[in-house]
Amino acid sequence: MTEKPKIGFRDGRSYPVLYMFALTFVATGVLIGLSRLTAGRVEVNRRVLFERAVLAALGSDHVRKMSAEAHKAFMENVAEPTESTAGAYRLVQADDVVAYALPFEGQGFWDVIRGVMGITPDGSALTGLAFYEQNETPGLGAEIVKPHFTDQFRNLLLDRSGPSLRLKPAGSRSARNDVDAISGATETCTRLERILNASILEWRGNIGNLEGAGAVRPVGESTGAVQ
Amino acid sequence: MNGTGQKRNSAKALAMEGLWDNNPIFRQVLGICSTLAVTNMVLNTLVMCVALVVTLSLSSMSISLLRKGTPRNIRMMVETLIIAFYVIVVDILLKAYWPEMSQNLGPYVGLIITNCIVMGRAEACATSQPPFTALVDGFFNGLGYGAVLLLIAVPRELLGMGTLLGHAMPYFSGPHWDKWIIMVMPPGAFFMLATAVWIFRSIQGDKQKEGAK
Repeated sequence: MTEKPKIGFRDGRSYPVLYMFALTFVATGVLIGLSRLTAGRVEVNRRVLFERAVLAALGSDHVRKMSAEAHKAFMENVAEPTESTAGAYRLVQADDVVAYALPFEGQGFWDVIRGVMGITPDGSALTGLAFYEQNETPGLGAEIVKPHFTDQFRNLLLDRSGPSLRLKPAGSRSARNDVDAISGATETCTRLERILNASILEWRGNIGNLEGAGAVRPVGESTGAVQ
Repeated sequence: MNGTGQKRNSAKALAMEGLWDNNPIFRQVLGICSTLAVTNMVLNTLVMCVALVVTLSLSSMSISLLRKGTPRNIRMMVETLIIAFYVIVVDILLKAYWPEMSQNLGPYVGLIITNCIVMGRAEACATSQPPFTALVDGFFNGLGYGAVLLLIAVPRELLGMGTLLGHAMPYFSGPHWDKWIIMVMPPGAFFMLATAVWIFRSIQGDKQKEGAK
């Protein structure tokens, strides 16, 4: 009778399974630990980006300062959204709303675009526009975050009869609510125009409904200037 | 020759292999997706290259350290797990300490996992060589990849945007230079990559002919 050859632990069927399980366990454990360790910092980074976008949309100079100062300026000047503002943050001075900061988001060319637009209390003009999350093509669509593009939205008058604003090919602006689009970033600009107009339309509708129901205190005419 | 001398020679040979003789981009034609995707801005390219060098070196070393205990039939799963581990570490650190760059690179850091160079070097070197050799091989292959990427990124950003590392360059950012928008679009990357491969392979071919004589 022939003797069966001895099979070691590493030759067994269970060894690859146990090996992979152990390796995955260790790797996952380390990653979870690292992720938890940095979670607070990641959250702070997100919050800082958002607060800077709100301040920039409201035309505040604090946005150029260090994170801590920008955070302080945000806490002192900007009031959290309430039901009566239809989701918009408020820049309040001497108990008066000077401007609203309306967060918006929508699908860009590659990924979701998130930003904030500043709107005068009567909703007739923008005070500014800023982004805190986008993944558009670097050098093309991603140029939407650059000042040469966003500065065009400062004190931009909005239309009430048609689209609130229009992104037109550079050099072909014909109306007061037209903005120069970015050459080579047609898809991003088309989608951004749609996102902004839809957000403004929805917000105006919500604010109008609340005003009609007496939920919001009437606000004065826009001064057109934000600190 | 003593052991240290041998190691130095071996490291030198590995450096030459990764940087020139067997360069991942223009000899092995690996990692082309990210080459096309991130090279329209020099800063993004630079950070992507550092991320790849770190991932490639450490994953090659780890795969080599574990090679004797890794069952042959699951080795590619193990390699992918180790590569993914280091890529996620880089991604987490970028999100925590350099959020702007993390946003700029978007999904490309995560895509290092599928970069053929990393798996290619794991299979070709790390599974059969000691950890130090695998580490040096990974490091210089990463550098070879990075060097070619930067050579492609510099003219793309300069001609397409008139800037370098985000700073406006004289003449190219002025009114006399009509920016070549195609250079920052994907077709520009194809043109630049093809030109780089053509130039480097021609130089290599000439040297080989000289050697044959």
